[in-house]
Amino acid sequence: MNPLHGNADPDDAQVISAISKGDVNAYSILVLRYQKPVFNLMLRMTGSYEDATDLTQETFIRAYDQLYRFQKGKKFFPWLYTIGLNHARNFLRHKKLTHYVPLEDCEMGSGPEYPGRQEEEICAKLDYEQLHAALDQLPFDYREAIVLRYHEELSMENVAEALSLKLSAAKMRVHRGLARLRYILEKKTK
Amino acid sequence: MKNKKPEVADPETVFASRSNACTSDETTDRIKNMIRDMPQIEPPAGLLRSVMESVEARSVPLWVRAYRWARSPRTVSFNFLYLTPAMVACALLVFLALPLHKKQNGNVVLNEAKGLIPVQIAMDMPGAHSVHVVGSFNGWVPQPCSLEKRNGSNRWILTLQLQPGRYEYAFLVDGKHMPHPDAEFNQDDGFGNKNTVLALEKEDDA
Repeated sequence: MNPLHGNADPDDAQVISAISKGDVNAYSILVLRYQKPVFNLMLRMTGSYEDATDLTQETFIRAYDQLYRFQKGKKFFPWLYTIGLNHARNFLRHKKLTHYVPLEDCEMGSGPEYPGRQEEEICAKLDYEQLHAALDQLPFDYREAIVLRYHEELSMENVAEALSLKLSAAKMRVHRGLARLRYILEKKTK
Repeated sequence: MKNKKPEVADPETVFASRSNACTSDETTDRIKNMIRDMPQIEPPAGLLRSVMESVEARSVPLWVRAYRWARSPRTVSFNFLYLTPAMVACALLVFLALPLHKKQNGNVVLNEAKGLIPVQIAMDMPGAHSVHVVGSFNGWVPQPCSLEKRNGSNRWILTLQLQPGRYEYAFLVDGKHMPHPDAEFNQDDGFGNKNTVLALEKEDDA
């Protein structure tokens, strides 16, 4: 019996179970659920919309191919993130690219978060621009640790798993990354 | 009068002006909140379709998936506490099965090889509570070579299966070392005790 039958909002484990039983279309649930964070990871890594699109697509295809290796009981997103991160690293190694992401590629202020031009929203936008710029100055392992912890709101254990680190090392990355980010933001504004 | 230039919010000062008004912890919390609410870029609309088209094209048959699953490494974790009942059960089973295996009808097999010669060791020992035999055939260890007392008699008997050869042995009667009382050949063991000498030959040689 298909584990997704009659389940409007299946969790990742149920979806993976359905895929392993031959329901290929169930994979679309995972793609829809995680394409945004993976795509944004690739954008941060490459700075190119086209490269990020290709890498995101390839990451999901690789994850599908490797799904039989996925350990039951683990969280899918950190596992997927690890695949994406490794794929992006290989891509950058071959292309010898940096992790810099130009802000103009991010189209800040054009999305639904900024419908108006009121003073408060403009200030908020400016803060996010600074934040993006500061994040770009961080080494990518610090940056990804912070993004996973505070944006994706993963537990420290899952951050460690996604970055293939020990728990203590992941905590250190988040702590130092945050301190460094704060230092960059404060230095920029003095 | 000179017109005053209108003030424009300088992006470089917005964070500073706000952070100056905050304490250290509040600034860090504000950074965390900003990261949490950081807007993200929407992926291209066709991404899902292109992924699913590739995935459907790569769909593998059931037997390949089963083969991959069987070949894939997996981590097995266990807790020693969970093993305790199983280990106790195993130890109990071995403890119970060993005497049954080693000793059947008083017949102790000390060597599984072919060409074994059955040797019955018997002695009369009234009043004894336990009689064991130790010798060069069992490494001078009394287990599992305990003699059995025949019902209604004072005779203790044990049958061994031994390879041809020369052996020395002695009895432990209630823990006390003594040679076979009816033996033809006894030999000093160098520690003040005597051992009985047993010489076994192949039937052809006899």
